[in-house]
Amino acid sequence: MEAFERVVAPQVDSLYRLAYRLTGHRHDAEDLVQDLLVRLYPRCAELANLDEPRTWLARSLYNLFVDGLRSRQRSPIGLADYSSEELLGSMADTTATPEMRTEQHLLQRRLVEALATLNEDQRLVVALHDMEGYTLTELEHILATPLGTLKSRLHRARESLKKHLRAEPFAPAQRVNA
Amino acid sequence: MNCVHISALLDDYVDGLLGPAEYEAVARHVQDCGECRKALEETQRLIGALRQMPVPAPSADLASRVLKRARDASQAQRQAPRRWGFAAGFATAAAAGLTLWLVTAWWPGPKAPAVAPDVGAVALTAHEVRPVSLAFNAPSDIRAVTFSLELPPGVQLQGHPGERSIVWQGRLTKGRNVLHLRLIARDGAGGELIARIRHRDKAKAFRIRLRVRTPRTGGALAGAQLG
Repeated sequence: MEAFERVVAPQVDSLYRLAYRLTGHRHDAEDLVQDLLVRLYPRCAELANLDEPRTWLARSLYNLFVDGLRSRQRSPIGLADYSSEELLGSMADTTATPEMRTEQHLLQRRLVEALATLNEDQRLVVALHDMEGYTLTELEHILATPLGTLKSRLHRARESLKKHLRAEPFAPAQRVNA
Repeated sequence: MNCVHISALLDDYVDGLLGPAEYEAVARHVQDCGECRKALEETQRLIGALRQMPVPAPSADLASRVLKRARDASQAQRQAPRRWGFAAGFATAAAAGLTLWLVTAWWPGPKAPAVAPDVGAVALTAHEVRPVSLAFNAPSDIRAVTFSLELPPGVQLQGHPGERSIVWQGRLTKGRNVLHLRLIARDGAGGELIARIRHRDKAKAFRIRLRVRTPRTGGALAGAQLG
């Protein structure tokens, strides 16, 4: 159905990214996107009339993810495992100098550690807002959560991340003075 | 505004949530206040680093592949037998998702056990249709099969309002057979759905736990809830 592809095809990449942030695994993310599109295909006419398909599709994907977890009685929500080697291995920016890449890699490793200290609600809003760029207004609809609650979670999450990143990466005894 | 006020507004400032007057006030303050400027820059650096958190590249041709499968699944569903009962076809049911696979030994005894085995749980949203598919393996084509469903209070099958017990005759085809149910529940409902299959002196029963949650509020986007 052409209308379905016209609306959905431009959104597949962002749906995959969102699915990856939620599932933490490439194959699970692809399966989630696949499952979503199979369910949405019969609703093609509804999709064609959407003003903001990106937000609508993101909400549908999130609901499907949560429903899947609930049906498998897996709780709480298992957001992306940022310590996975799959993710860390893909962090290198090939355009940067070796020194910049090393610094970037270290920063991102510390960020990975910091993200692991957040609670799931905080990680969810950081992942969708700060990483994927969904606005808080969009997240009100996607997550069905009031704006004030989202702002509070985001603020606490950022404060926690900054506090973690401010800490020395190594204990003093491990540091080598030139 | 002093530093305490400004500090409370910095997240809204970087997220573009301030009105023009407050935005100007924060912008002026951070120009003159080193501490607040440092806090702002720290937040901006953090967000910049988060934006760089990578996502592994998906499989090649992900978009064309998932779109094709969606199209094929829809076509397969349209072509499936419309009889009220079981439709042979593993692929269609697998593609539809939310399927409880009951692939067990067929006809284990002369009678269904007193307590049907629990095969899983399904979450329903009150007042929304929830498709659930049950899959069975049949060793051969079997005619004259009696199917029955027992629904808990507050849960009904779409098209059968108020019916807690539904019985019908049908047949099974060799291999996997899928029963598509469209369930609707009201707030506060829940319990167990019992599905039974009977053929002559053989029977099998399955128990599925149903949990019902209150619908999310979503304004204009409420239609995004999947059934």
